[in-house]
Amino acid sequence: MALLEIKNLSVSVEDNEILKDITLSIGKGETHVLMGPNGAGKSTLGNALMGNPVYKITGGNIYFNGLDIREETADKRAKAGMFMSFQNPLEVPGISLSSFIRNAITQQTQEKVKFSQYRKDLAANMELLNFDESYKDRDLNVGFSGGEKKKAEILQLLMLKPKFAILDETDSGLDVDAVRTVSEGIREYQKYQDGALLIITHATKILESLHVDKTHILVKGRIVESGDGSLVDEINEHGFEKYM
Amino acid sequence: MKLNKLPTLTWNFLKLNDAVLDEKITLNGRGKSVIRNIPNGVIVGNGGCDNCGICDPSTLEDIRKLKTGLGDEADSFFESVCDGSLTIRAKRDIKVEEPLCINYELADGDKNAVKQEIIAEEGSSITVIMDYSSKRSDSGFFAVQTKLKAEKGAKIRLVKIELLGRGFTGMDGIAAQAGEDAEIELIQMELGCGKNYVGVDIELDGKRSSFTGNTGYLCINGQKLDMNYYIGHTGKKSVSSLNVTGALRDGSCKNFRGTIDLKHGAKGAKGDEQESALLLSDNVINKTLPIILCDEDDVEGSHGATIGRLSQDVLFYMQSRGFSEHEAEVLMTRAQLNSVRGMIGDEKSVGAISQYLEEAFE
Amino acid sequence: MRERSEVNDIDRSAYDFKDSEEGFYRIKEGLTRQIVEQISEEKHDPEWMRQFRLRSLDIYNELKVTDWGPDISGLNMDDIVTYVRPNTKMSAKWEEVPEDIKNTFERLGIPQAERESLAGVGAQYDSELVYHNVKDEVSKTGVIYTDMESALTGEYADMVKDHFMKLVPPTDHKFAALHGAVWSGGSFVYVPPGVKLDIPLQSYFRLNAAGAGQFEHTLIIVSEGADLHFIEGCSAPKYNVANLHAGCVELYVGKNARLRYSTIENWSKNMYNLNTKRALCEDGATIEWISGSFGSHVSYLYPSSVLKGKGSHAEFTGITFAGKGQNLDTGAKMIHIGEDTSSFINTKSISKDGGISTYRSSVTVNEKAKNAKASVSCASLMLDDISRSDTVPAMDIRTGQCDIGHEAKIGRISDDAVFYLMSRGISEEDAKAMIVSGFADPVSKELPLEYAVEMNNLIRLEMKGAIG
Repeated sequence: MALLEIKNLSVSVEDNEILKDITLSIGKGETHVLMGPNGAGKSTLGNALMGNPVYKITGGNIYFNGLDIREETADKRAKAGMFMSFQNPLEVPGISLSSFIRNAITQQTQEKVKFSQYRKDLAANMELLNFDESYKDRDLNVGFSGGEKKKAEILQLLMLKPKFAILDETDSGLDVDAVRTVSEGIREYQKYQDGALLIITHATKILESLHVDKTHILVKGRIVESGDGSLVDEINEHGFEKYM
Repeated sequence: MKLNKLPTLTWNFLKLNDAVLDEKITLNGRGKSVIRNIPNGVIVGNGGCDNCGICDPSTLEDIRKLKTGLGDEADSFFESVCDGSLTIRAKRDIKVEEPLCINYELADGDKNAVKQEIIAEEGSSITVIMDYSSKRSDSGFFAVQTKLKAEKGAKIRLVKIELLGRGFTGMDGIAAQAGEDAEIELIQMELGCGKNYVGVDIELDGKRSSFTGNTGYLCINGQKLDMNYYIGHTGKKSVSSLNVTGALRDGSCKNFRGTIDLKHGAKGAKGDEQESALLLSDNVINKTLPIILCDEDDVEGSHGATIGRLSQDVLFYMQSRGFSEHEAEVLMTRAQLNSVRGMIGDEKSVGAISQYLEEAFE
Repeated sequence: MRERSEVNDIDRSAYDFKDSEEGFYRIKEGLTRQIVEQISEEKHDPEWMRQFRLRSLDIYNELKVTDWGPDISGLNMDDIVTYVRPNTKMSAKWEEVPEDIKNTFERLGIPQAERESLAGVGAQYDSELVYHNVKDEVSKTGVIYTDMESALTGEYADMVKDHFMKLVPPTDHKFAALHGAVWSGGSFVYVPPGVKLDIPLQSYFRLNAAGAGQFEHTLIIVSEGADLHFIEGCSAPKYNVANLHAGCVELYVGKNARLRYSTIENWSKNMYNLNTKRALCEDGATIEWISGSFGSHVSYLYPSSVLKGKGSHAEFTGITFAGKGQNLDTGAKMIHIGEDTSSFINTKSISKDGGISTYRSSVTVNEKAKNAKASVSCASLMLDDISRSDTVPAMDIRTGQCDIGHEAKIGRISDDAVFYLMSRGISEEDAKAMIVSGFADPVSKELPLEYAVEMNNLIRLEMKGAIG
């Protein structure tokens, strides 16, 4: 069985059906890309997979690692190995980036984090992301620029080492350099942590240096086409018009 | 004793017009205070100051007329039980970076009341940190009255850290007056005491005078905290901002009253108060009354309050990182209190708070 | 020197005419047991009501006036006439209403409104209803809309007895007790289960007699799944003596029913408006209050919503405009008792020309009201520096499982906004009028169209030609 199995999933927000009958399966270590025009329901899928209570599952099932997670809260899903990089990450005054990540690792592993090893890992990953080390002692996302917030999300991805990560428009609002750095971090996760990914995007810049296994096109709440990585290039050239 | 009376009354059924302290108070004068590092340029007079000759008598007279937010009955209580007061004075144009620290160490059965005055002369600046602590299990009574006067262009930063035992009843009355271009900053951590009454009255009399208040509190295991803040804007272009943040759990109660009074003639004045209360269990009582009185058109007044559980957005983000609802609540409570604690800037005091919080969340 | 605009008083000439009271039955001023008994006799009360009035009088004599809020020492009950009956019987035909009273209501636009857009109309003149009519197609649905006196003895007498002053008991406060003792007139509405009226019912209250009090009682029962919009309007000419309005409104909103209650209060500025309004919501019920307070010398008005039923919902949208000589203390109370209840308060107040407006509210969330949501938003606009505006919103929250939000703002017309509009070629007075209208917009758009138009015209008109 694949790592993530989505079967006939329908999702509503405030009684409006956004996603209709989505079926998708993502294997261990695979990278899938979800593309589609604005308002197609891409972020809805990400949020529903992660268990955001605003998004109500009205039909179908989600299996992760063979377990039915449809009724589980987000923290149970995270502990099972899921992760989401948020479009608008939360700001928490009073908790530093470093202490937040350390707390999160403790929650997920239920083990005390070895401080020296933790500091080393954090420093290495921050360097990889071209992220000034002083940010680790700043309050989580408080006063961070858009790009820095996204780097902080990818930093959490690398530190928490989930089995599967949803990247919800992680590239939106970033300049070219920031996109390159973020995609560096993602490649690290793909290659060395053998992580599976669902990358939600409407641009393709972030995908340039990444290996993509499958691409899905979402229009008006339905997956209208799936293909391999080359579908990305086709969209790049022709847009979504033929699916509208 | 009636405490924390509102400047303008509202429905009696809310039981917020005042607070009643119905204990019989017999003081025994016990409890010791230690003053750490008196910086250069700061003069401290002890044991009543009228005759020590370090202050201008008219200044003292002015400062003694100020009323605390606890109200008339409490103020006359202090007059009747305190022989003298501790007077701290920053000399003209002296800017002191280092804080003056006063540690009150109390033990079981101590019952005491003290008065303090802080005067910052023209162009001076001073930070005073006062902390009150005892063992967690201790009982007693401790009342403090602190009156502040910041003269023209002066700045007073007052930090209050209250970590008394659960059997303590506390009264903390603060009165402050700010002259032209003067600044008053108040940071309060109200963590201990079984019953705690905090009454703050700030008079922004001077042109462009300002007040910044940050209060963090934690009410757990049946603790009762009753707060009354009054900020009077008389001076033109005076500015105030008050932030009160904390959490309630396990049968505890908290009342917050905050009044911004934009008086006639205070052209260009601005006042803002914000309250955030996390309610971590079902059996808590949280009352909030943010008042704006406005008798002037060229002013801006605002207030906001957020009360209840964690917002859905915050909770979902936290959960997506593996925190359960309970863990997220604890983390966010600590974050809230940390952000107030972070403003203190004195390591010893910060350490004591951290230790208190560790124990509280065990 | 910054320029400043003056907003004049709302033009009241449309309301400020008075009629002769010749031939009217007028009870002696003051409040005694004898007067209460006399009112009861005049009105042919059933025995329980006579007892109720006398008990209320006792309570009235025991209770003190409030120690908070605007001063009402100018109100002396010994000078107030509690009962003035116009010299006519209630009629269902407009032609039968006496000429002068008919003229009054014609000038206020009542029958016209009825012809155009209302399902039924009642008109009260001093202490009694003089006119009541319901459209045939409405009557056929089983909707009852009648005066309180007929309801007391009619087919629904038991229903009235079961509900009368149960929601607002005479012990509630001194003026509720007064109401219980001397109430007269008002309307009874019953909407049967599942009946949805798509056009509103309206009552209009006119107090013509000098030095009199009006104490009408409105009782509305909206049954399960039913839907009603009720509009009340009030006005009175100005006298030099104090008049008193101590009405009482009790609204029972049944399971999954909805009631919208709109009020445009435009009493004259000698009026003490001490009115009590309360709604009780069952499971899934919705109460919507729309409240415009423009008149009165002193007002105490806080419509309350008791959210008893699971998933019940209340909204309060209000505007208060305090001008010269006015002290208007208005707001709302929300009481969350049931699970999954929600409430929303949105108010605007405007103070000018020495007027005082106070926004006062309370949101209480009971320990059983799990998942309650409440939000309060109030804004005040100061139009000059001789006026006053206070905000006193209380919250009493007793469960952790809730989301409560509150925000308030106070200030004056922003210079930047005026400058922006002027840079687009709009005159200063028009710019300010636009901003005040915009400020009032969230409320005026909830008002019935004819009232909204009137309100905006008034603001526009009064902002004109007064920039100093």
